[in-house]
Amino acid sequence: CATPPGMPRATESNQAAQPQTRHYREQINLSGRIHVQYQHNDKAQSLPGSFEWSQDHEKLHINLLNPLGQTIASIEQDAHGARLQQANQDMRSAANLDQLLDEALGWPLPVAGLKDWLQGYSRNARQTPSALPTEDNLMLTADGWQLRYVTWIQEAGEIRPKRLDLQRYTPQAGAVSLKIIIDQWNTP
Amino acid sequence: NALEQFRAFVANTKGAKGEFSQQQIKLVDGKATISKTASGTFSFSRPGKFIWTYSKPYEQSLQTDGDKLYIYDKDLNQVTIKELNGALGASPAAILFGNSDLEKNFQLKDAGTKQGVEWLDASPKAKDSQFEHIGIGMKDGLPMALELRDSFGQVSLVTLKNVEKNPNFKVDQFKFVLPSGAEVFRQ
Repeated sequence: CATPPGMPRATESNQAAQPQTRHYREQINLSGRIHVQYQHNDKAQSLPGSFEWSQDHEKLHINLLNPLGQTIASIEQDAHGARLQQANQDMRSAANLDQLLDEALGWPLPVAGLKDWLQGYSRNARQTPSALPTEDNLMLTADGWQLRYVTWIQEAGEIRPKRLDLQRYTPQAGAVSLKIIIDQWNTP
Repeated sequence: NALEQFRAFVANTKGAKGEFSQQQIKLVDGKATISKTASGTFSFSRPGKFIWTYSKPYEQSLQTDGDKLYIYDKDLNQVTIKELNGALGASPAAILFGNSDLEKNFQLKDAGTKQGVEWLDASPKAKDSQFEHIGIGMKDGLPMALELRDSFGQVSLVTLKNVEKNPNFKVDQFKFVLPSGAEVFRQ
C-alpha cells in the first residue's frame, strides 16, 4: 500500500539512522540482571540475580535465577490467575500476583507495572501504555514506586531501556530497591 | 573410570586455574535449546577458596576467601558480601574447589562414558538443595564439564578448558580487593 501523502518514506538509510517509532509490544522476551535490596526483620538483604521474562497475549512467564544460573522462582500468569513455584516448595496460586509475590518472596515485585516499565512505557489515564521520553536518568512515580531510567540503549534501530532502578518503602519489606539491567531484548 | 579420576583429582590437585564457558539449556516444548551462553575464567585453591569471573555477556564475579562470598557486578559497581558459614558445602563450587569431605554432601556414582568423557553423578544429600542432579565429566584426570540441573529442570552445562593444575598462586591471590567506588551490601 502506498505511504499516505506527506509521510516520509522510511528509506533503508534513514531507517537505520534515526530510530523507528517505538510501539508497545504484547509479545516480548527479555532477560537480564536484577539486584534486589530490602529489609527482613530490619536486617538488610541483598540478592544479586538474573531474570527471564517472556510475555505474549495470553501468558506471562518470569524466572528468577541466582548468580550461578539456578532457578530460584518461576512465576506464571494467565487468564486463570497466577502461580508461583519456588525451589523445593509447593506451587502457590492466587488471583492477585503482586500480593502473592509480596508474601512468598518477602519483597515486592511489581509485575503489573513492569509489563509497561520494562519497555519504557507507563499507563496513562486511559489505561493504555504511553511511551516515556528516552532520557537518561528520567525519574517518575508510578503505582507507588519511584522509577529512574538510568540508561537507554539503541539496538536494531530501536531505543529501549537498558538500566531501570525502582524504589519504594513498604511496611513489610522496608526500603526496597530493585536494580534491573536488560541484557537481552527480543521481539519475535 | 570417572570416580577414580575424580577422587585422585580431589586428592592431588591443591589448586587450578583455567577458562569456562556456561550454557543455559532449556526444554522448549520438548526440544533442548540454548537460552543463554556466558564465559569467563576461574581459579581455586583448596580448601574452599575460589574466583569465578564472568566476562561475557557482562562482567560479574563470585569470589570466596574461605569465610565470605563476594558477588561483584561491574555495571552496577556493587558488591554483595555473604557470610559463607558452610553455604558453599552443597554448591557446584564445592565439587571442584571444596575440600576432601565432599562425599559428606554428595553421593558419588559412576555414570559411564560419553564421547570420550567419563561421567559421574553427584547427587546432593541435602533435601533442600537447589540442584536435582549434578554430573561431572572427567578426562585425563581433570574435570572438563559440569552438568547442573536445578529443581525446575533447567540445565547449566559448564565446560572447562586450558585447565592448569597446581599453578603457584600469589600469596594474596584469593584476597578480595574492593573495586574503587563500589557500593557494598553485607548480607
